[in-house]
Amino acid sequence: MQQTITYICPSCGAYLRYDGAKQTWLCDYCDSEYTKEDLEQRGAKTTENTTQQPQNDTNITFHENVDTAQTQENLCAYVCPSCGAEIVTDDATAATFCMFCQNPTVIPQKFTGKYQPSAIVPFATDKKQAQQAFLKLCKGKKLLPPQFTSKQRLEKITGIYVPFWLFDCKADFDYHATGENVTLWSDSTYRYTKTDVYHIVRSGYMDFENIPLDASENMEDAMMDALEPFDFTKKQPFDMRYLSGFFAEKYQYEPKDLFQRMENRISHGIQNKAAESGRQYDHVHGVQCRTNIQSDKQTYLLLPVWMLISNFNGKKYLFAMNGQTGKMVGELPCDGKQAVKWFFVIFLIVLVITAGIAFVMGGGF
Amino acid sequence: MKKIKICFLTICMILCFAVPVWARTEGNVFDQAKLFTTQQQQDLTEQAKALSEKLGLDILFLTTTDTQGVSAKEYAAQFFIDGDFGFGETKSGVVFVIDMQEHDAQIVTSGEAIEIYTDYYISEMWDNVKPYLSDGAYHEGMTVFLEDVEKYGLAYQAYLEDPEHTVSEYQVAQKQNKTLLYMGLAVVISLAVAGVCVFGMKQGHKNVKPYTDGRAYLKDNGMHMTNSQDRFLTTHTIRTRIQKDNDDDHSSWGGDSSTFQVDNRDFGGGGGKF
Repeated sequence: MQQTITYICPSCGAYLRYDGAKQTWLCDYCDSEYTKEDLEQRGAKTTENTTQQPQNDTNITFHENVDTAQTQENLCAYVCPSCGAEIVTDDATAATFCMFCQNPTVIPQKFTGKYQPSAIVPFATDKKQAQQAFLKLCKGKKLLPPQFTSKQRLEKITGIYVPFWLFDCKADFDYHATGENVTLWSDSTYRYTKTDVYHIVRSGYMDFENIPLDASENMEDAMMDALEPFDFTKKQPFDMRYLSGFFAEKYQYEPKDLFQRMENRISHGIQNKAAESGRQYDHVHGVQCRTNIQSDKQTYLLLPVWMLISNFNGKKYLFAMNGQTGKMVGELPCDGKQAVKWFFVIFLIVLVITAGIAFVMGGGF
Repeated sequence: MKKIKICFLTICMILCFAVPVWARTEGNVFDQAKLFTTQQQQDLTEQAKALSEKLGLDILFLTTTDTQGVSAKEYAAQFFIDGDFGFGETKSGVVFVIDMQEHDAQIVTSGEAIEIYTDYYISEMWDNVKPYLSDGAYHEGMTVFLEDVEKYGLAYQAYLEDPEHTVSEYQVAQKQNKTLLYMGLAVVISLAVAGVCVFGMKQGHKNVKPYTDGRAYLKDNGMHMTNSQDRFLTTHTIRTRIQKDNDDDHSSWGGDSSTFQVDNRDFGGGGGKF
């Protein structure tokens, strides 16, 4: 049995979507606006549609070039509560849109049991702000192909709630290094360099909290790491109404799958923190830092991210914006012709200046 | 009869083992290798004598097919000493020696001429003369040599009269070389700057960098140090002599002159195979 939910406007019955910028739910048909308290007071209705998995009763002979076993395993079909069309999603998708009527649809059973998030950080920005952030990212980039910031491309920006695990951990460390302090002085004949050498020892433990690691297969880890920081003091108890109008995924990685990545993320920080404690040195080398990390608490929550995937000249470019702070990260394409043009422009300008200086310094021909 | 034999043998021995000593009466050309006609010798002698008076230095031409086991320039220096050539207290003079056995030609300078014809000018003179020697046009080559001796000799005299306001050919060449070097550097710097700028622009297209190395998630007061030690191991001191900036000793007239010694006398010059 598969169930989908659409949140309905108490005034007109059309669907509601959550607006991050205003922190309210909006009806695009009657322009009504509701806070969380309004919805609770007015008893916002939901339309639910419960259906069985589609069964192939008809005999159709059909060959297609896909792995059917894998397709059936990873895809799920639901019925849109608004228009009755079939919504097909992958196993991880928990909130989506009907591709026929654009009805925002939440699939509640994706967030039940062990997949129930403990919290959600709601969107604090809207699509327009995401588009502006993208344009700001592109601004001043001389090597950017001119057509890359077209309006059509900007329309593809999509809001997604990405599953994250927050790790709390304790890290024991044992840091050893050789430190050198250098003193310089001179007299009329000689220059003296005195080097004092020390063995640095730092041991102890560090307590970390709320280290976020994305638990989605579809998201690039480096990009999700670059989106930080998130303000976790603004997190809310999980409420499916925040998902209305956005895509959402359930986690695909368990904490044990992410532990190694978490260890890699903080090991440098542990070493650097140990190094910056105590006396400082002019040069430090021969660093050895043994760490032992234990994590006894992981929190599952959804974090808001605006995504834009853009194809350009056959290459896929991915951009992401922190849906809470508006921080935008990504890699913009470079136009080879623009690069060559700017190379020669800069070369000629610098050559004119340096050749003039060379002529004056050299005394001319 | 026996006395006559002894005298004859003694004369033969002297002629065989001694470096020939030539008298001033033979003029300025000492053509042991027979490279010049009598007319050419007279012509060169006349030119050399006139120039010698003008510049105050002795100008000689020496050709040989046997340098007595020494180099051509040492042979010419010994010849200069033995013949007591050279003008003035410094015995200023120039010898152009051609060794036909080794096809080696050298310009050897003595006394004040060492200061006049520095390595730079000797190199220029050699470059001008060498093509004539290679073609066997020895007289023409020596004429060109005399022209250069005059040109640089007169320029040196002009320089001595007003060193502050006279720009020597050497200074001009140095300036040109310096300017060319700086121009080359300007091109390299421009290429490097353009490359770095475009690389920087390209790097600016990507801002996917980790926000933190983990320290941002350290709890307030989350650092607990149980052992913090700085154990002194050793100390060492390095002493280096401060290099003094010596003033450039190069003469502004013509730079350095390489010298060699024969019989405790300094000679300059240069040349090469032809």
